[in-house]
Amino acid sequence: MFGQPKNNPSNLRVIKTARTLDAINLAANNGFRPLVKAVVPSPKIHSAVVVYQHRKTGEIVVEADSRCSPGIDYEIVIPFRRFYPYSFSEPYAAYLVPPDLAEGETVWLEDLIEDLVAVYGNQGWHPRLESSEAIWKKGDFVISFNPEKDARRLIG
Amino acid sequence: MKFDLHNDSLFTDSGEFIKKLHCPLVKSWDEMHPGQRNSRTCDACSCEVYDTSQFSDRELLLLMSRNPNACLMVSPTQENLTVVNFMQNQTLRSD
Repeated sequence: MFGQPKNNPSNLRVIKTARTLDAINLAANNGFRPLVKAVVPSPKIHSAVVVYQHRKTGEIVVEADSRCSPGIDYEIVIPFRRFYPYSFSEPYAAYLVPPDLAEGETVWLEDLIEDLVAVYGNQGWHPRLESSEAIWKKGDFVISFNPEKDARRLIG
Repeated sequence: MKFDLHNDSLFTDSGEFIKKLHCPLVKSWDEMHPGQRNSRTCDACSCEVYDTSQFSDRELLLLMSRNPNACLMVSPTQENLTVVNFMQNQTLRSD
């Protein structure tokens, strides 16, 4: 997705994430060591929205841009506000660490558990980082991503 | 200008369609050579790729009217861009 790093550009070993109790325990029974973490929404991550409603028909228009109005026939029913645009089924998740993962190995975390800002966009658009390279150090993953430098540009 | 995440399309602030961005060659901006003012040159197809952060909406519309195949670069962090990420947004139009 726009703003996110390319998918595993260095063809690193992929570390999967399990987000349910059954998936975590299944992986544990198959030789992986689940690295369990809390799923904690970050206040730094948000989208923004303003909702207009037609005065006569009641139809609504949803905008992500506070500069634009659909016209004088509409009134604001929800003023421009930020909100957290993601949802997860459980408040915990786990990286599935293979038994042969070596200290210092660089891997690709396919589905990040941590809430890190992928892009500091304007007008409240701060999406979360979906995937990233990371280094396995002292029993945890150190994520390598700089949103200002690494946010992907789109060409076409 | 506005960028619609769901169809990779660029619009003016007033909703006028500028271009749908798609490069099958998946080129990187950092790998391109500086070209004319506010652009870089793509080695793959020898096209100029224009940095939209340096253009106004009106200038981009003019550019695309003169050269409908011109390539554009959009960065999610550029100041003159709003990213629209709502599928239900009804205010953008491509006509």
